[in-house]
Amino acid sequence: MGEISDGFIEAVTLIVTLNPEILEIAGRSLYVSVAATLVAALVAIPLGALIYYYDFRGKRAVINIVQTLYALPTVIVGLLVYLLVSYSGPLGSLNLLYTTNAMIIAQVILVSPLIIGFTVAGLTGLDKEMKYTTLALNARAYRALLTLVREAKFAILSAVVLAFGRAIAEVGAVMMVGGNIRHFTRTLTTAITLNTSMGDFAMSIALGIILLTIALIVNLGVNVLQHYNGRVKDE
Amino acid sequence: MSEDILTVRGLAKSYSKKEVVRPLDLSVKKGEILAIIGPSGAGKSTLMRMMDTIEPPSQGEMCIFGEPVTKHSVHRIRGRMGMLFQKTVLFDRTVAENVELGLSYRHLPKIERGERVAAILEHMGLSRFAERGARTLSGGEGQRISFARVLVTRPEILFLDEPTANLDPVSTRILEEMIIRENRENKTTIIINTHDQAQGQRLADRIAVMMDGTFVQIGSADEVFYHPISGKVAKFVGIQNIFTGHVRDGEVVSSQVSFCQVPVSLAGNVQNVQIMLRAEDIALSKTGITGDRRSVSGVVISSARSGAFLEVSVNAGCLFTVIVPFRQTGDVYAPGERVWIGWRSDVVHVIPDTS
Amino acid sequence: MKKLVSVMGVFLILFAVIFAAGCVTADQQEPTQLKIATTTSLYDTGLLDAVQDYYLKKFNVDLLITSQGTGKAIASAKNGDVDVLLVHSPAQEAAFIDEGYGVNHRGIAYNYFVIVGPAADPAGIAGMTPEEGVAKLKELGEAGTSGIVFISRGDNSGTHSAEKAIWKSAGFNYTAQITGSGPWYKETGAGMGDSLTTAGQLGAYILTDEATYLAYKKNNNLPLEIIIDEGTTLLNRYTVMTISPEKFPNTNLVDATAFTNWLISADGQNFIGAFGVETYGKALFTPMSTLKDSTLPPFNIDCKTPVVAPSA
Repeated sequence: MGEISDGFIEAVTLIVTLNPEILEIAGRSLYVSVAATLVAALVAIPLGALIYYYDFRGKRAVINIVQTLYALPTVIVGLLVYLLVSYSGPLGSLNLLYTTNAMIIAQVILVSPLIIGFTVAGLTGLDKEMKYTTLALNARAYRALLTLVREAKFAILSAVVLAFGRAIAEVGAVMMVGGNIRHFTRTLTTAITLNTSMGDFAMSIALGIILLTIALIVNLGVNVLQHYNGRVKDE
Repeated sequence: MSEDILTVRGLAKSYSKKEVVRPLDLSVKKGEILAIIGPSGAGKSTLMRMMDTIEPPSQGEMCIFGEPVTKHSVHRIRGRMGMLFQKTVLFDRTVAENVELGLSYRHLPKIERGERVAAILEHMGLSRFAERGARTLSGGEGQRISFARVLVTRPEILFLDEPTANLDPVSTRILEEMIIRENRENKTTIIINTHDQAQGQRLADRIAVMMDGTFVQIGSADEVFYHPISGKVAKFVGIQNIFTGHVRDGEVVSSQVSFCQVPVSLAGNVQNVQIMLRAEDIALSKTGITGDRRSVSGVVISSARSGAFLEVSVNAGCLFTVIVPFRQTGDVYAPGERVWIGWRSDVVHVIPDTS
Repeated sequence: MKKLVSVMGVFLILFAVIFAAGCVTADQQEPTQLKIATTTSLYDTGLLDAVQDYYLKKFNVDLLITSQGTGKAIASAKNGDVDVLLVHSPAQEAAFIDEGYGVNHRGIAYNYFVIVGPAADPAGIAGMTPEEGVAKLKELGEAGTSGIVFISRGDNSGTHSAEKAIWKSAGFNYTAQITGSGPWYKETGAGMGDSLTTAGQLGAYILTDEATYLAYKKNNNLPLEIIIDEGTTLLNRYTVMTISPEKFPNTNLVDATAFTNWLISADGQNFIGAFGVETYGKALFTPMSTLKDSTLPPFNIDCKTPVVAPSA
C-alpha cells in the first residue's frame, strides 16, 4: 500500500517539476504516434475510400481481412518490421532498426487497418443515394470520393483518433523495433516496462499518469466527434 | 414529335443470379415526358439508374443523344443528363454549395458557377435559402434544392425516381409544377418513376407499366388506365371490377349479367374473356337506371366512406364495387337494400382471357 | 461546428509544435553512434545509463544501448543490428565467437550470483555450497514440503544459463530432472526484476545477480535475503565483444574498438568500480582489472590487452 502511495506522490512530483527525462519520453511518444497516425491516415483513408467505391471480386473478403487486422497483435507487427529492417533483412541497408522511423513504420502498419476499415464503414454508412447523386452529377471517381469522405468526416476522424490511441498505447512493436534506447527510442510504454522491471515504480507511475491523460484526451476527442456524427445523422 | 433521344435494346440487370430487370426495349422522344409506373420492387429504380448510366447493365445496349453508350462516351453523355432520387440527398454544407456541386464537378469557373446557382435559385423561388445549411431545410424544401442542383447543370434528359414519394401533398404539387415548367421552358425530356398512377396521369405524355422487371404495357394514359392489356395491369391501375366471362349470342356475359355487345376489337371467335369496369364509371340508384345504359338490380352487401366518396358493394349476380361522390346524393345504403346499378356499354373493357 | 474546427485547430498546432521539436533535436550537431546490445540484468542496474551520459560528454559518441534477454541480444548481434555485445553467459559467448560472429573479447567486470530466499530460510540451506543448496531444495520440493518454491527465469538469459550450470554441477540433468519436475519449480519467462518480484511475493528461492537484487531490495523492500553467496559456480562474468566485420562490414569498428579499450582502461575500470557505492553503499561490480590474472580459471578472459580494430 505504502509502495503505491509513495510511488504516486513521487510520480506527481516528477510531473509537476517537469522532469526533463519524462518530458523527453512523452514528447517522443507523441511525435512517433502522431507521425504514424498521420502517415497511416494519408494512406489508409484513400485506400478505404477506393475499397468502398469500387465493386470488385473478393471485396467482402478484403473487408473481412481488414477488420480482422484491427486486432493485429503488436508483437507480430514488431516482429514483422524487425525482420524487414534488421541489417540482415530486405530493408537492412536503410539502417532503420532502433530508430524512431522504424517505430513509426511499425505503428503505421498497426493502425492502418483500423483507419481503412472505419473509412469503409463510415462511407458505407452514408445513404447510397449520396453516392448515386455524385455519380449522376457526373463526378469523376476522385471528386465523388472527396465529396463522400467529407460527408463521412466525423466517422473517419474518430477512427483516426482511435488509431492514435492504439498507437501511443502499444508497447510490443516499438519495443522490438525501437529497442527502448535511452534518449533515442524510449517511449512512454517501453519506459514503463523498463522502469517496472528496474523496480522504479515512481517513474513508471508518473509515465503511466501521462499515458492515461493522453488516453483520456483521445477518448474525449472520439466522444466529441461521435456527438457531431450523431447530430449529422439525426438532421 | 422529333427523333428518339434515348433508345434501349435488351437492357437487363441481375444481382447474383437474381434478375431485377429483365431484357426490355424502350424509345423516348425528345421533349417527351414518360412516366414509368409499377409496384415497388418492379425494377423501376434500377432501370432508371442504368439509363442514367450510373449503374452498369448486365446486358443490353443504350443509345443516347444518337451515340452508343460506351466506356468512352459515358461521361460525355452523363454530363448532359440529370437524376433526382426519392430520398432527398443534401450534403452537409450550404444550399448554394449543394446546388453548385455538379458545376464544380464540371470545372466551371467560380464566377460562372456563382451566377448560375444564383439564377436557378431565383428562378425556382429558393434564393432566401442560399446561405442556409442544407440540412436545416424541411423535406419539401430539401427536395426542391436537390432538384435545383440537377437543373443548374442544364440536363437534356432528366430522370426522376419517385421524386415526391416522401413529400406531403402541397410539396408534391409544387415540385410537379416545377417539373412541368422545366419540360415546357427547356424542352427537357423527362422520365419519371412513380407508383402514384394519378401522378403519372397528371404529368406524362406516355405511360410505361413495369412489372416483375419488364414493361408489360406502354401507351397513352387513356390506354393504360382504361384499356389495360391484362388483369394484372388492370388491378395495378385501380380497376376494381374485373370479372371472367364469356361470349354468348354476341353479348359479353358473366354470371347472367350481360355487360355489353362483343366489341369489334375482340378478334375472331374468342369464347372466354376478362371484363373490366372502373368503379367510378358505374351509376348507382335506389329507384332504377334510365337512359342508354345497361342496368341490373342487386342487393347492397356493404358500404363504406372513403374520403369524399362512398364505396358500395353490390351483389347483382357478379359482386360489383361502385364508387359515388357522397355529397351528391347524401344517400345511405344499408346492407340488404335493393338498388340498381348501370353503365354505358362503351366504358366496359373486354380482353380475351388467356389464362 | 465552429467549436469543432477550433478544437481541431488546437490539435493541429500541437502536432506542428511536436514536429518542430522533433526537427530541432535532429538538427543538433551529430555525435557518432555506437549500437550496443546487452542483457536486462546488466542494463537494469543503471550502470549503462551512467556510462552512456559519461561517454557522450567525454568522447561525443552516442551509445545506443538496447537491453534484451541474452538470447535475443545475441540474436540481434547475429543479424548485424548492433556493433557491440555486452553479456554475461560464458557458454553462449564461446559459441558466438566460435561461429565467427565475435572478435576482441575482453572481460570488464564480475560479481557473484546469489541465491536469495525468505529470511527464515525454510529449507535450511544457508551456509551450503550452491550445489548442495539446490539439491536440498529439489529434494524438499519434490517431497511436497510446504513453503519450498524455486523460481527460475526460464528465458535462456545469462542468469538462466548460470542456474543450469549449477544444476549440472550438482549432478542433475536439467531438462530431464529439473524443468517441469513439479509445482516447487516455477519458470517466469520474465526479466530479472519481474522474477525477483514474483519470488518475493511467493516467498521463494531464486538465483539472481547481486546488482539487480540490491537495486530491488533498496527500491521495493523486496522481502528476500541472501542465503548462499559463495561458490565458484556463482561467478558472474561480464564481457564485451565487437561484432566481426567479416560477418557484417557495417560494424562501427572505430567506435567499437575505442569503447572496448575505454572499458578496460583505468578510467573505465574506475567508473565501473565506483558505480553504486553512492546509492547502495557498495559497488555493484568488481572491475576485472583488480584480479592478478584474469586469464586463469574460473575467469578465463583477457582484460588487459588493448584491442585493435580488425580488418574487414
